[in-house]
Parts: sequence; structure tokens; C-alpha cells
Amino acid sequence: MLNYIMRRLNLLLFTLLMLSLLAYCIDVTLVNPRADGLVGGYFRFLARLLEGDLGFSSSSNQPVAELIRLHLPATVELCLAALLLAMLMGITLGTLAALNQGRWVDRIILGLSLLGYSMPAYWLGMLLIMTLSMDLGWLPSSGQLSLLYEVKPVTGFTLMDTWLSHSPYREAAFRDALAHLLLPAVVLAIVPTTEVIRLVRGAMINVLKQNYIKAAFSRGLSAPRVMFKHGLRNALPPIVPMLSLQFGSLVTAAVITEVVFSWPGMGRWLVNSIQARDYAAIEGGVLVIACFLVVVNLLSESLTTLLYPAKRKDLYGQED
Amino acid sequence: MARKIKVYPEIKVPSALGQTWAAYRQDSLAMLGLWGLLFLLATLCFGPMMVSFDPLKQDPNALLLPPSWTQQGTIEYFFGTDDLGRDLLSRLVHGARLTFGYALVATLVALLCGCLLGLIGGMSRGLLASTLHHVLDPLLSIPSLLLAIVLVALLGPGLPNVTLAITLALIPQITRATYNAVRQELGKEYVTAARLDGSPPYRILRWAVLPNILDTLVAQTTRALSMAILDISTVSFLGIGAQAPAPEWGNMLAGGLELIYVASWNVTLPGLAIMLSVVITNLVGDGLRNALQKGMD
Repeated sequence: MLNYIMRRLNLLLFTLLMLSLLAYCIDVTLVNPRADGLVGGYFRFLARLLEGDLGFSSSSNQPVAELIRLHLPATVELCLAALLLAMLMGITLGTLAALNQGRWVDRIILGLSLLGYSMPAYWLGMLLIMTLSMDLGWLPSSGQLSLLYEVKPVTGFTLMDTWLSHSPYREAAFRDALAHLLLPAVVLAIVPTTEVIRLVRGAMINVLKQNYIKAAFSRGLSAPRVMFKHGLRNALPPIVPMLSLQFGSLVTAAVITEVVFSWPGMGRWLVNSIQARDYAAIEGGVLVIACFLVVVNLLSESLTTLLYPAKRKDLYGQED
Repeated sequence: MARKIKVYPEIKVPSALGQTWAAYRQDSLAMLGLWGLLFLLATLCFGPMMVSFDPLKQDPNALLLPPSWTQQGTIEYFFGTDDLGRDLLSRLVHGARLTFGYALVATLVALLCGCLLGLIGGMSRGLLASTLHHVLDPLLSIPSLLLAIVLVALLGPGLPNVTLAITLALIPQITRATYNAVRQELGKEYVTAARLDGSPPYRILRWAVLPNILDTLVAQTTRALSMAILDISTVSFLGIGAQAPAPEWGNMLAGGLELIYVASWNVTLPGLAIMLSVVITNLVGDGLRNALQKGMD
């Protein structure tokens, strides 16, 4: 086990090193070209990074680290909401498809998930804005919160901020924030949902073939009880690490979703920085997002190895 | 007629390729995808010669003309026009070359490099294998779109640079998949038997490994192609890929964004084109993978 953790940490270190080199490439060529040695410059660059100094944004003249701190919570909020939605919808639909394998419910769910997987997220977002926000007027189309409500940002997460605020319109503001979150979160959740459906369906089909399911039925347990206690319990743990791989594509999709819905997060800020040729901001933003993803992957992999013994078993059997 | 008379009751066993094709033909969705793919490729090659308008030609008398199936539309501009009076059908057909064509190029180059690295890494042992296996891990942890953004920041915007970036982003995934597939195949007993019989590595690779990892390769190729189409159009949509007048599909969507309330066909049609091409790619890929698996059994 210790060996495993050491190997993961080793890999993490290596990955972070490569990332810092990549960032240094941008730094040297575009942000502040150095006349002094490349190697010495790299170590000074690293020291600067470790202090949390990411330089100054050329378009707003504010420290990049401060700007990232301002924009990150909105993105995290959006991603978490989408992840939650994707899990809920994906596990339900995936189980439904597995139970009806080969029948029309299964075919419809699979067809829909193929469509969802093939659709450009921003296009779906635009269509939803066109129909739900403009024609029907059900949901707001852009931003995090209506300008009517004045909420002091404490945590940066709008849902928490509106809930914690002491204004008399607290509940109305909370509902408004939720309505703003719904549309972007649904758009962002589509692709991960299709992936969850695929994984859950496959795992459930395998589990349903097992003898312990037959045994559970023969003991006279009800179908929902068998499904929840014996089916999902065994089908879900192996697919959790694969879900964490989805986080990367989720963050990518978040960039686009934020642009379409004018969500004030990292993605929109990054795209604006590119258009403004604000290289310090691009460098900092990409570095932070990439590190974030690397750490999330590492954590989820290590956690599943710790918590899920069957995964550990094939670790022992590995040759290299 | 004489040929049809069978004197001896022979059973002809079709070749592996023939079996795959027979299995593929059974799957009607996959066949639909194949016809769609042929149509897309034909559009790619001959489409620009067949449409009636230059994709950049502006007609001041036909601004924002709706598609021909509505009341105000004309058959001349079949899919309608945009805010500068450019024919949407011509732009979509020319865009197939930019979106689908560049995605195809990115996928093929990535497939070549990724397969080569994966095969070398998978067949070799020790330091070389470990290096090839892990050197691309950091790239694997950065999503392809972010990598494209970084490269565009370094090299400047433009479709060739974006294609390069997407190729680079695809290579590690293909390498990883090939490496794992080769390793899995090498661990099987019949390969050990072949090695004990004295087969050199090349022979094992050619006759044992390659035919059996074909389904992985096909799955990776179609996945990479659909990712490349989506990524190229996305990057162009964000304004850092193909530049303004080019009729790239994502670019057209971005242009249609301001017109969404007056001329929604400028948004729906390019989006539909992107979606259909990705659906077609996935249908062909799924069908081919299933057929290959059936052909192998």
C-alpha cells in the first residue's frame, strides 16, 4: 500500500514538474522574456510560483492570484451542481436501461445518450436559451443572480451567500440564484450524464447476471430491495474512479458553458484573457486548472484504492 | 448457370474480413452511419464544386432570408442567408472541409503517432516502455481544449494551429489505449506459445497482436474523430480557432449568436451539421467495433 502511495506521489511530482515547465514556456516567450540564463530563470520562476505569486494581469492590472480567487468559486459551484445532476440522472437512467436491456426503454435511453454525447454543449445552451428563456420566459438566461438582489460575497458561492445573507429577501434571492444555476448546470451535465449512463448500464448488466442476485430473488426479497441492496451496491463502486476521469471534460465543458451563459467563472475569464492577449492571466489560469485536475484525479484514485478492496487486489497482482 | 451446380457439399468459410462485413451489414443503424459517412466524404471532396454560390459572396438584396421551406424563403437560397447575405448552404458545404476535413487530418496524424508510440512502448520492456508509458501522462491530465488554448496563446490563433494542438492532445490517449491493449494481448497464453516456438517480436506483432487489438484501435479512432470535430468547432466558436469570414461550423454558430432572435436558422443549421457528423462517426465506430468483435469470435 505504502509502495502504491509513493508511486502515485512520484507521478504527481513528475506531472507537476512538466506542468510548471509548460507554464514556464509561456512565461519566457510571452509574459516576461528574460535575458539571464534559462535554467536560473526557471528556478526563480518556481520560487515565485511557490509563494503564490502569479504575476499581474495586463488587462486589469490586478494580481492574477487575486483574480483567480474571485472567479474560481463560481466555476466550482457550477461544476459541482452539474456533477450532482449527472449522477442523479445517470444512475437512474442507467439502471432503468440495464433492467430493460434490449427493450424499447433501453433503446430510447441509449439513443438519447448518443445524441447528448454528440451535441456541442454550447449549441444546446443556445437552443435552451432561445426556447426556455426567451420564448417561454421560464428561466433567466445569463449571470448568477438578478441585479435586484444585493448580496455581499462571503464565500463566493452564490447559493451559500444568498442563504447566509441577512437581507429580508433572503429566500427570494436564494430561489433566484437557484433558477440562474439550473440552465447552465443542465447543459453542463449532459455529457457526464451520458457517460454515467453507459458505465452504470454496463456494470448493472454484469451484476444482474451474477448468482447472488438470483439467490436474493429466490429468498423472496422484493425487486426494489434487490436492486438497491444487492444490485447498485455492487455495481457502483468500480465505476467511481472512472467518474473522476470525467472531471477533466467537465471543466473543459464548463469553459464553454460559462461563455454562453455569461457565468462569471474561470472559463469566461480565461476566454476573455485570450481575446485580450493577457498572457499572465492565461498562464495562471491554465496552471491552476491543470493542477486542480491532477490533484482531483490523484485523490479519487487513492481513495478508491483505499476504500475498495477489490481494486487493491489487482494492484498486488501487477507485474511492473 | 453451370457454376451454381454444387457437385461436392463444400462449406466455404468466409475470411475474417468477410465475416466482419457480414456482421456489419446486419446492423441497420451502423449501415445508416456508413451511408452518412460516405455522404460526408463526398461532400468533403466534391461539395464545393456543386454549390451555386461562393461561401464569401455577399448579396445585399438577400439579407437574412429564411430557409426555403418557410413562407418567405426562396428555393435559390435553399437554407436561407445570414446577415451579410451569404448563402448558408454553400457555407455549410464549404465548412465540411474545414471542420470535418481538419478533424480527419488531426485524427489520422494522431493515430499514426499514437499507435507507433504505443506499439513500441508495448512491445519493449524496461526503461523504454516505462518512459513511453509515463512521459505523456502530464499531457493526459490536461483537457484537450485547455491544451489548445495554451498552444493558440503560444502560436497565435488560426485553424492550422488549432489542428496541431488537437492532434497533440489526442496522441497521449491513443498511445495509452494502444499500450494497454498490446500489453493485455502479450499476456495471453497463445502469445507465450508463439514465443516459445521461436517467433521473433515482429512476427508476434504482425500476426498475434495487431489483428487482435484492431477493435481497440477502431474505437479509439472514432472517439478521437468525434472529439476532434467537437473541439475544432468549439475553439472556433470561442473565437480563437478559424477566423471570421471562414465558413467553419463553430465559427458560423458564433456569428449566428447575435442573430439568434431574428434568424434562428443561422444557429440551428450549423449546430445540426456538427451534431450529425459526430453522430455518424459514433454510429460507424460502434457498428465497426461490434462487427470486429463478432468477426474475431
